[in-house]
Amino acid sequence: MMNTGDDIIIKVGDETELLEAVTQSAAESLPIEVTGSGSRRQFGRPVDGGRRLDLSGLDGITMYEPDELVLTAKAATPLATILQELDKHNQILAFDPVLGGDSLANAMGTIGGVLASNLSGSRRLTAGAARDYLLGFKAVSGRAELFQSGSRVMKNVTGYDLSKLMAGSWGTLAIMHEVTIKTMPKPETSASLLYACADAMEARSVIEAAFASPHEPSAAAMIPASLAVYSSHQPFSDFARTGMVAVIRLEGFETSVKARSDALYAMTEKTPVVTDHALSDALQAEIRETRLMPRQNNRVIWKINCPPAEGGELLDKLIARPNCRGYADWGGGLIWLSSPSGQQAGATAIRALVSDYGGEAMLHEAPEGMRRTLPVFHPQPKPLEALTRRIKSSFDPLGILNPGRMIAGI
Amino acid sequence: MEMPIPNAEVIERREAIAADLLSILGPEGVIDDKNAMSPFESDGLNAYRQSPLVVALPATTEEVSRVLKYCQENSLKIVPRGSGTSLSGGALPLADGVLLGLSRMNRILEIDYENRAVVTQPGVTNLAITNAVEGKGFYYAPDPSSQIACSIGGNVAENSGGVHCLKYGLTTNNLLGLEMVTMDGEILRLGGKRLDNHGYDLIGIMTGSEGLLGIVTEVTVRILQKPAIRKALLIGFDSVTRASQSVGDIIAKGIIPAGMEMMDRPAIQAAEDFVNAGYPRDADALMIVELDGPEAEVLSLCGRVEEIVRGNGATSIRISETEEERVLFWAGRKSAFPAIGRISPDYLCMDGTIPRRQLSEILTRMERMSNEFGLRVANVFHAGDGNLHPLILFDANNEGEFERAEAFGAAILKACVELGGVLTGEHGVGVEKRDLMGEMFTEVDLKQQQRLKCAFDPDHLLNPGKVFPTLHRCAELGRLHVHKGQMPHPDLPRF
Ligand SMILES: Cc1cc2nc3c(=O)[nH]c(=O)nc-3n(C[C@H](O)[C@H](O)[C@H](O)COP(=O)(O)OP(=O)(O)OC[C@H]3O[C@@H](n4cnc5c(N)ncnc54)[C@H](O)[C@@H]3O)c2cc1C
Ligand SMILES: Cc1cc2nc3c(=O)[nH]c(=O)nc-3n(C[C@H](O)[C@H](O)[C@H](O)COP(=O)(O)OP(=O)(O)OC[C@H]3O[C@@H](n4cnc5c(N)ncnc54)[C@H](O)[C@@H]3O)c2cc1C
Repeated sequence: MMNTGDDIIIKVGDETELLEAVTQSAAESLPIEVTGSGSRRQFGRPVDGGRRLDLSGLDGITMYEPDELVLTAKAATPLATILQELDKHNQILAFDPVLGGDSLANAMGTIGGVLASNLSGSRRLTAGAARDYLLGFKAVSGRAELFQSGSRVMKNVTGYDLSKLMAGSWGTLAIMHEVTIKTMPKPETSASLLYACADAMEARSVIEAAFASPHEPSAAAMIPASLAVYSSHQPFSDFARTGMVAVIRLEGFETSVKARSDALYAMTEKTPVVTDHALSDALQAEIRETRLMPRQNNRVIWKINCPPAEGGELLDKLIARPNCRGYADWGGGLIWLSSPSGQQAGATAIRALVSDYGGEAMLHEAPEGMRRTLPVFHPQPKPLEALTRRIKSSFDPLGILNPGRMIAGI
Repeated sequence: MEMPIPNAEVIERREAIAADLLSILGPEGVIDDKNAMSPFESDGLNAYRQSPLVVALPATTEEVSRVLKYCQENSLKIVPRGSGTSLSGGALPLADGVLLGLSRMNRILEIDYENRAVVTQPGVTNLAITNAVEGKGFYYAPDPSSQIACSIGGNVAENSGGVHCLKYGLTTNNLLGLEMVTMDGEILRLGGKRLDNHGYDLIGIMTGSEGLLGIVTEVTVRILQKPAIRKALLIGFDSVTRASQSVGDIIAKGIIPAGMEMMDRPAIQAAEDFVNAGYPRDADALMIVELDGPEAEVLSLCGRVEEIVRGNGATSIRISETEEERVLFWAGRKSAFPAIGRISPDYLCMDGTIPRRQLSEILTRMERMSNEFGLRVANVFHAGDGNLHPLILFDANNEGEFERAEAFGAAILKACVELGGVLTGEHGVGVEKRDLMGEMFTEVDLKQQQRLKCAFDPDHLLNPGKVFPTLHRCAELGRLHVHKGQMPHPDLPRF
């Protein structure tokens, strides 16, 4: 136990201590704030009060069989540890986790935190989300009980698929102490094709043409030139005078990437700039890590999910709003938007617009006070919220795990 | 197999209930004649049969909602049914339960090529989705062998797979949205055409829930661009061990084939007798490896795979030259079940999964068990993901043979769990594996799963008797045993 000011931190080193800590909190009905390394405390809704449970002692890969594409680790194993170990065997986490750092070794956060927030990178469009790679877990519920679900095999329909529920539940249902994930081979190489376009509508049609071809892009983004200029990499920053850059990424075996890149190059009237592997990775990182976004005190950042084909038109409309900047990843399916924080960050208008296009908007980065008063996640219809409440209490009847982390009062 | 004891009072009220349903659904929506109900008595696990109380066939989501509300108010049980191809008895009726068939909700509602999405009613068959979009070069990836018959709603309920799971995932990895109705009649819309959703992943939890959490009334699936080319390799081995080794080696080389299947000698011979696909009769193991994608890639990977299997002592290798030949390579595998049906009066199809490296071990154990139980077994597997389909051959006319076949099946599944695998890879628990759940889960694990069920269906009216070996009342499950002053390990320091 550590006491830093009024912030009480409990550190646990194994599942017995974890169970112990939750039992104690349950007995006293005292809320716990669950943190892997706490690097995402600035994202999402702040937890309503509570002691901080530090899981960082749950550290270590316990099983890794590359030829079976499977890895088991204690839940607070640093993402960096896992990514570096996979890299030694030419493997990756295919959902392309956000690193929050400039290299695998500098990746922030823990594997449990990454899965609990179900955040995926640029390859999400074609490779699936974090939730698709969680095969099984062991956890302690808010009832202070050790339980498990799933397994180490890829094909398993024995009982409810609780792994899906754990992914994206932000530690509000149970605290995982061990996770088993599916790994994938690392693509041999990659290339990116950059197209100068007038606006997002046009960029979107370039992307659609590439995806409608047999050349299998793995990721695609639309970056306004006004953001591309912030790139540290030249071909990107050179697009200063066009409206929008469409970035199409190819990955795979050497021969395949070469053939597909040539074919895509020849396919359109527009002449793209073609990058090599290193540059393609560097641009991908800038896009995935939102490094091109302006971050200032008086601004907030929205993470918007929408149907990919609507992404072009929606992006054009969003960045036409006063003082808004943004770009799209996932072929249009994910929009990062930076808006002024004044007037409730324009939440009502932004959410209404996003809803019109079949999307939802999460207040991703904002001052803590604002993340407490505005709904961080897109508000749910009442019957759905009621079901959410019942699910929460089926795992955590006393409401002690991360109360309010997702929705105020849940 | 014990099912919940039917409520005699409900059975007594059968006619009144049928009349009430008639007023909700009209004459086309209700079947209550005993003979007319007979096709609904069992699903694909036809060793178990039961006539339902009455069959309700709603045509719209609103009708589903009204039927559920009516049943909730009158404490009537419901068994959902799609096409009735489940191999685990998930759609087995209850004598005092309404069988809710979704077959009339059989229209594709929208095809949105740009968003790669098809919105469909639950009764549409799996193959009909691919048929609807293939003209434009698209397809729906999960392809259970039953795809001409099984419904997409049933696929969601079972999280069905197919031979292309290794690269393209199961149903759960190919869904964008669902509309569902909970037992109280509430209509919920989950997801849509976007890729990710905020809030708890209810689509994820509905998928594979075997009709216990809600009725799926609309499904939005993700469709994919057809690959530029597909090629299949047909590879014979003189030992299963060498074949298994090759599966691991291919993946270790960074190659994820679209499909990677294996058959053992009895299955090879039965299939070859049935379809003449040109399978090597003398092989002990046959592998089909399918590669798909851009032409340059597929051609080069065919070469790499060939090299790997040659290194492992393959006795025969053929690479499909034409699309017809590729389809022919698959024909034997895809008709393995009817092929076995020809050589045995009856068979049971099992569905365990193991870590791939345990393939030889499980086969050795199966051979031993086959002698012990005195029953033959043929094996087809989704080798890429370790999903086994042992087919246990028996003759139901011989006294006690069905029971012996079931015991053999249970022994195989227990062995799968022992080797680090699971009871079911894609067919579901249903009634078939219900009583084996304790092999994989503790009482606490199972109770937590049932608590989740309580959040959706507090009175256990939806498909009771399936999946869980013991039904606990929700009130009992909700009780909490942590109390102040009664902590375990009181000697340990507190914060
Ligand atoms: C655009 C973008 C930019 C980013 N930039 C940065 C950056 O500059 N700096 C930075 O530090 N990070 C950054 N991140 C976030 C970074 O990726 C996260 O730090 C990391 O992935 C989360 O891991 P964590 O263990 O620290 O999470 P935590 O913050 O500890 O946890 C995240 C959530 O998961 C829950 N949780 C954690 N562990 C478990 C568990 N075992 N079981 C159940 N629930 C659990 C927590 O309660 C919390 O709700 C960025 C993310 C994005 C999307
Ligand atoms: C010859 C054969 C081959 C097969 N091959 C495969 C295979 O390769 N891969 C595979 O995964 N499976 C396979 N199966 C199993 C079966 O086809 C699948 O499980 C299929 O998804 C069941 O669909 P259905 O429409 O027939 O559902 P049903 O059998 O009618 O029902 C299955 C379960 O789903 C529930 N259910 C059905 N519809 C709904 C709904 N709309 N809402 C809520 N619950 C619902 C039922 O209550 C039941 O529990 C095979 C079966 C056969 C007979």
